[in-house]
Amino acid sequence: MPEISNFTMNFGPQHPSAHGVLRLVLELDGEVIERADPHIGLLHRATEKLAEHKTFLQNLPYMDRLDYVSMMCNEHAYCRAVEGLLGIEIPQRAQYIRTLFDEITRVLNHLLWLGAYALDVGAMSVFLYCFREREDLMDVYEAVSGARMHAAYYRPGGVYRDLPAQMPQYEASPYRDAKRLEELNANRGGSVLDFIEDFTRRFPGYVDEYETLLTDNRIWKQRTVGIGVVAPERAIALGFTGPMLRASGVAWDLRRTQPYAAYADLDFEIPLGKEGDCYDRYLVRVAEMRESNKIIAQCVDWLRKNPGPVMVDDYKVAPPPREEMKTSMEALIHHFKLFSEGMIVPAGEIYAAVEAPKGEFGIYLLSDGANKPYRMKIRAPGFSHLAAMDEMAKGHMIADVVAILATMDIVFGEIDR
Amino acid sequence: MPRIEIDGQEIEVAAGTTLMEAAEQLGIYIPFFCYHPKLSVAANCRMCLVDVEKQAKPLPACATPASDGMKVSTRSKRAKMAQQGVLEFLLINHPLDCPICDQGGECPLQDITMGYANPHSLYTEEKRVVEDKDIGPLIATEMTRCIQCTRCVRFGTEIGGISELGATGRGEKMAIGTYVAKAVRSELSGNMIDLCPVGALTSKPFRYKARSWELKHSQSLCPHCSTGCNTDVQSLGKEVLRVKPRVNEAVNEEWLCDKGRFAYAGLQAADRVQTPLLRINGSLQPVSWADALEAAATALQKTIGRAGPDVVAGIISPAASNEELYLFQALLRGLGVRAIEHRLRQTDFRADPAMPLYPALNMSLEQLETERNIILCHAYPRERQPLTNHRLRKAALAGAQIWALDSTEREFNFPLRQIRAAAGADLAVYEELLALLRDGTPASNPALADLADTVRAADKPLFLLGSGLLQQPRAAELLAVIAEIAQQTAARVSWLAESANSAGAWLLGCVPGRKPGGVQVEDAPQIWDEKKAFLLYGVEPEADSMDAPGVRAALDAADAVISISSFLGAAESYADIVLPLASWAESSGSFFNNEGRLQQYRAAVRPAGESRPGWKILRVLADHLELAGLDFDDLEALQDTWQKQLGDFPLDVPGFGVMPEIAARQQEGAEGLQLLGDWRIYQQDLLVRRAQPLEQEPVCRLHPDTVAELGISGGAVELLARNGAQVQLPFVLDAGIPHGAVWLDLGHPETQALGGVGTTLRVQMPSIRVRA
Amino acid sequence: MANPVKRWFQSFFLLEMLRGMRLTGRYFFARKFTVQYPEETTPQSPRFRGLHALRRYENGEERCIACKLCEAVCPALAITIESEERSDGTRRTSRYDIDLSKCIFCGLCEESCPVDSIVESRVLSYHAETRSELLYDKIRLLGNGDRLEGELARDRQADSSYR
Repeated sequence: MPEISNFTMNFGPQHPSAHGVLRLVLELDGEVIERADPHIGLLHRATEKLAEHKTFLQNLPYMDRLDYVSMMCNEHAYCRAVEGLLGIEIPQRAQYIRTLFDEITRVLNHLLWLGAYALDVGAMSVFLYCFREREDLMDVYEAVSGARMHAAYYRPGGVYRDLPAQMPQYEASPYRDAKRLEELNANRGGSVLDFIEDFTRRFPGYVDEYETLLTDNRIWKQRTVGIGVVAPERAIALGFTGPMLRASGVAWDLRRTQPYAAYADLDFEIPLGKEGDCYDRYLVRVAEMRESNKIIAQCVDWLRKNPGPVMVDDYKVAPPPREEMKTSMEALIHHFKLFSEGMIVPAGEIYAAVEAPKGEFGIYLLSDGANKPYRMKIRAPGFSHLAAMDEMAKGHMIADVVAILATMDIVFGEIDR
Repeated sequence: MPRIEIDGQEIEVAAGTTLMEAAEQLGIYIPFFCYHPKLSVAANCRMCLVDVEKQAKPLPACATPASDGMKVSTRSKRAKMAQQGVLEFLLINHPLDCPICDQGGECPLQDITMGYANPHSLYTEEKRVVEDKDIGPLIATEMTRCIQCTRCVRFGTEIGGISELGATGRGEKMAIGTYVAKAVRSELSGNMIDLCPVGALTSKPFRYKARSWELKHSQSLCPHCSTGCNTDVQSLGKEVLRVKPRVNEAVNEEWLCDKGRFAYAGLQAADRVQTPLLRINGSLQPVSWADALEAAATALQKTIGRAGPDVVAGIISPAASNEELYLFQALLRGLGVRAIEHRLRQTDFRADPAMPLYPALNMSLEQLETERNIILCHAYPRERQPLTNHRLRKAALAGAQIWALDSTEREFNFPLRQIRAAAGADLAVYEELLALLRDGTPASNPALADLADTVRAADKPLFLLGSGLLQQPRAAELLAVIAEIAQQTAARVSWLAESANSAGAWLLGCVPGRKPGGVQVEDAPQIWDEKKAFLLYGVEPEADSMDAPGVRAALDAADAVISISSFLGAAESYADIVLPLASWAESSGSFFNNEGRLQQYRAAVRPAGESRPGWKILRVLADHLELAGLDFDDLEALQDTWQKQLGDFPLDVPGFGVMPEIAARQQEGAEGLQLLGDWRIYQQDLLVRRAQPLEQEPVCRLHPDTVAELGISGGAVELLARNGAQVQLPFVLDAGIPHGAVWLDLGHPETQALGGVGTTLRVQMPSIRVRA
Repeated sequence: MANPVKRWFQSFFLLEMLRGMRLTGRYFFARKFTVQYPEETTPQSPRFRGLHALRRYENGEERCIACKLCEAVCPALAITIESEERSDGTRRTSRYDIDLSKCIFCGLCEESCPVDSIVESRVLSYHAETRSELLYDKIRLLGNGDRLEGELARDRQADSSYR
């Protein structure tokens, strides 16, 4: 009798569907997964240790680089932690701007996830359409912060600068006539808020298009329905958060259960799944995009009506305006000390979390009263999701591993950090 | 014992304690600018205003004594309003200079503003501008930044003993400046930079070089005198950028003299030796370490093989570390060499057998402050040991009677009586004092009679022997007289050791005839007599010897001169092998200070070029010479070894041993003027004399009567030595110089050729030279 | 979907597939939204954080006074400054390097600069063939500033009310 042994295969770290640098060691019985063992750490940059040597302001740009698909949500958790230690309240307008951009970030993240997921499973067009919409939102990112991805826009004490009154426009080029240029710039004539509002009007139609391509599609359903089922109690036990948890039917969303920023004042629904399979996770995320769009529209409305400061008026935390820095001695000293020594955060510890697109993203900060964190710990949602890989993939085929992995919405920036 | 409460915490303090001191005891910080624990209370910055219950106005904590039942609050609304108000006023006239100000980042004004100020200024009018003053090459001024705390003024009068800086004007017009527009000439002036709470006084050599947060701090010691001040050497990359004092109440308190503070500038001197050099075809050429060490070992072995070890002499700097001193003598003794010396400036060694174990202060520096009767014998600590001088000054201000016996009168910065010997008759003063004390014969000098009365009446007066005494041509005779005086009167004798590790050099056997631990072994040959090879370690004999021309001739005549040194100097012409030595800032080690206190220092930067720490050079050289037992791999093992060899030794070594028979030496024929002189403060060692900001032009000093007698006019004189050397120098009239003598700043390249104390010079009007 | 007949009908005639193909077919004939880079660029904000530049005053004097705030605040330690007293007694840099391979383009250097000297320009398409070329020294940074000054000044002006 020939000896039969399981076949072990490395999935990644150079596999295009490994979503970065995941090395998944699969133990196969024929084409059936016996064991899936994720190996992580290939993108480890020691952010937590690095934070102990950087001032509270210098750490902020590194937050963008954790989950680099939902940049501003990471910043939000960090800023909330620092603000909590400082014991300061930030201006209402800053809260709304943060809410607005948290949701824009959620849409950005889900669009990338959807496009990549569809691509992994075999649908090409969705990817292209998703990236078209992402482009608009990236422009918004750039208009407010100056960077398309690593924004460094939220700051302890508020946000970097107020939303600009002019949306950047396309410039003339030999490839487009004046009429076409005018069309392109049609929604860019006004402020950033005007552009976002225009986007919120267009966006539900786009989501309909994705759904037209996917939701009823038999191939899509064959690849996702009943794949990677997680029961609600298992989802809780495995530490799932965000859409991964809600697709299993557990109603848990920090925006609702522990409202922060301006979420308490806004009207939105928490979509829930029933089966806890890949298809439900898809449906939940699509529904979340529609909800986010509603929140964005409400924020735009509020921000239009309520001008005001976007940064705390406390120079011990936030640098003074440039004009004042160049004329007032007090302001100059505060500017100098903030950018050399950094802000002094009282001793204490805090855990602050936000409902990031992928789930609960939290920052634990321990300050000893110096200008740098004594310890920082990052709670990355993707980490616990990836840890469930073995449980979710067991008994499925190799091709399903791709579907399951993609449905987790893995980003290695935050997992390896 | 008043009981008070500060911010809810109760404390019982001694009567007379100020609120500031009470708060400090409780660990409560009260912001201040003008207050300084070592200076008098001025209470003019008003930053330390605190809220005292039942008082109509906030009170300055630094000037308010605690009284029973006081309830003080430093963070109440009224206290905060006072702090914010004071800061707003201080900042009204402060220029927006932070970005270009060297104080930025280590500025109390910035820090306290961050901590206590209202960040919004209400002031929109013009700011005042104060004209800058040039107060010398060490301190840069930016007087617009001054907040009139007067710390510098108080430091000058209370610590420095000079009233050069002062406040003029009132209110907004108040400005700090020198009363007379002249350079600040205090050997402690650099401390004003540390004291200034803003950027008004900053270090000129450090100007714009670096920010405080970039600097690497290294715990070090000052290698320039025997006080052993603790320093913090601050460096950026490979360069030492500044030296600041570390607080050590037992040694330097929190001060540092300008010598210790600015000498680091010499580390970058142009003649710094970067690679080993070997004389090939008459000129020094860069070679590899292996070649240079091999050449050095061969030269030593050959000379010894040919003429025996007594034709070799080793001279080491008394600022070398204990480890280097120990290895140096072990290496030479291993070769059989007996002429090992560190005292270049001394010429008369006849009293050596009676010298104590090491030149000890025989007490702690703190105890020195409490002495009641001190007689300084040819000692000028103000230039040699500025912070020991500070202790003497404190003693004097506390009422001690201090006397100074010397060849000339010096500029002390505390009240004392000075007795000046007649030109070349230093011995006579001591002999007369001895006679007075012994027999009570009438004195020729009434001051000397007073001194004798004091010595007789005092309970154990302290004779402090300075390096000027050992530099005398008849030093041994002087010492014998002093030993006699001490014996006669129960007076105590202590030494002001000359250099950073003179104590270590004595203890570790770098004197002829003494092994480590002071074990007297043999009669050692003279250092300069009939020598064929020299091993020089960190010294410039031509600049540091009394008889510079003679020394130079001996070096030129030698077969082999091996110089282990950081700087090339004149060794370029006489050395055959030069081994680049890491400076004190570039190597680690330990010093014994004047008290016998063992202190460690750590390397701050990497050695320049290819230079190596001295102990490593000596260790490898010993290896090349095939000497056993010196192959130390780390500094710790070396330290253990010398400490074991040294054993326990008494810190106090009062008095002299048995004085040998010392015959009176004949005074040289007195043709011309008696040469007096000393190494000035910034000529003390290799490093200091290379520090550009400390540069001093050599001058000669003459008594007005001498000048009149010689009929000299104009600003310069020509000096003619008996060896034919002829030098033209500017002169200064100084009534403190005895009649018939000429004072010379020794050690300068210009003055080396003239010889040292004990010879005579002819002085005349400069002859007019016609340039070709 | 409750109706099994309807479901069979939809399934048998591939209706959901055809609906999807109608959508993609419509886009097949629609105008493309691609941008012809590099001749054509996407809109750029005046806040854009790209290649660094050192600016000068109108009289040609370099703005930088070597305060080293940018060096201190740079989270990536990409900036190296050496300062000294210039012959006219002013505080100036003798070295100002930005290592673009370290830089994370967070913009803190520009925020910290008290004299608007170091700025991040709109330039995003710089390149180098060796790593050493990515080390921009003072001369190259000042060169960037001289070349881009008009745009830099305009952008700072446009955003001045928010700063």
